Amino acid sequence: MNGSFCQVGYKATWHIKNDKIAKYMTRNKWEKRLVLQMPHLLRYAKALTRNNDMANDLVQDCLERAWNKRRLWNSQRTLRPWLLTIMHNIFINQKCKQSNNQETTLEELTLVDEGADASQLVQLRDLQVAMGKLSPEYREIILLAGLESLSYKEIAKVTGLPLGTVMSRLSRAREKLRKIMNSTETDNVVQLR
Amino acid sequence: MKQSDLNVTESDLQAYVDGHLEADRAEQVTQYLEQHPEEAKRIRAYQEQNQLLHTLYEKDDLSLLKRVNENFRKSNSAKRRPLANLAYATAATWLIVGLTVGWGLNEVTSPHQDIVYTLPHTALVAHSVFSPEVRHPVEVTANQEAHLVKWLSKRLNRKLKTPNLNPLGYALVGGRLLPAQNGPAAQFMYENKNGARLTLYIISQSSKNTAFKFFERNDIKVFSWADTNMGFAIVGSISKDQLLRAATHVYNELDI
Repeated sequence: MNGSFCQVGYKATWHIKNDKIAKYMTRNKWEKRLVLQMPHLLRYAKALTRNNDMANDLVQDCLERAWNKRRLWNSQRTLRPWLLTIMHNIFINQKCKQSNNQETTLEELTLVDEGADASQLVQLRDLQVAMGKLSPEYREIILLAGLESLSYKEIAKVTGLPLGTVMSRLSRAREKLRKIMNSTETDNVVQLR
Repeated sequence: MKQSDLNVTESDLQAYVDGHLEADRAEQVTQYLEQHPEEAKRIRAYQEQNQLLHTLYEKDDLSLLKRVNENFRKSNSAKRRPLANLAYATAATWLIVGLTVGWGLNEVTSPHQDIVYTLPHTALVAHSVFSPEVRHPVEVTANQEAHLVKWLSKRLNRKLKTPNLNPLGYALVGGRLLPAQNGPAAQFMYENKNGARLTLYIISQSSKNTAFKFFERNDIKVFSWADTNMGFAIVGSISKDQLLRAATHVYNELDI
């Protein structure tokens, strides 16, 4: 599974064009644009890596790379998918370097929330555990579609996959997540008895 | 995962989950799902996945931002590793994002003495304490304006003046002297015909960071800024646009 993920390699597949607007966009405007995307990127990185430190580094690397490449950004495109593409490439590169020898340590989240009711907390907890059991490429595609609400074409660009593969992978990933969540539900019931 | 009648494909079903289908097509898929309860169950589970994902990660968003911010502060004070230019910029912006979020949560006790961070907060408190006052909203009333300005100028050791907000419908009520973080603060209160009040809060400290800042809590809004030797904040429970207009007005009048 990891192998196929690595084969994509680090290469921006984004259609890059020297665009006049991007070229003359001032430093400040760029900074502002990047800052506006930051909460989103952090959220996504956190969900993807399931580790605060890694998410932190990933966003930092991503912003740094985006900054250096800012003249290559084609302003016809929305910024976020472009940033997510950069992040995807950094992420799979890191994954490849780590290969399989180093399991990422999962930092347990404490779901402290007064607003949510108990049954929802259980559901959220199940989802969190289930997401951790998915392979990174399944997790990624679910997050891009479900959390980031990207179109399937945009997902294809971000991941460098053909549209057909995006669709079939998304379908398989969601089904897998559903099965895992169903089985954790059963676990809970068994434990309660 | 049948692809029978109505030619509903698996891709259609996924797009249905993500809300990417045109209305007509979505209607067809709804019909299809009514006829296929097993499929409907599966699709409902996927929709639920999406909802839960949002709840799970959006909630976590804020705490992560805060932690990133704390991490930065720690690493910044302890071991400063060589950072590229952008890293500085991102770190600083993280700090600002973090602080804003922190304020919103009313949890951050900021170690920063920079008035950019403390000014809006103290101004907001001053406004919320004195603006509801009916009998003693100010210490010195507007009919003694000359005295008021002279007195506060002396205490702040700055040449103050009361901006004229009549064009915006706000008349000066008066002012008072207040304690601020590291010295005195001057507070001027304005009121319009409907009794809505604005607070202009001035301190004698300045900041290198001269940008206009906006801050809001419980419907009370603050615009703050600093110049070379003073810090200003204007506070009120009016719309952001109106407050900005007042802030711009004050800024232009005080820009001597």
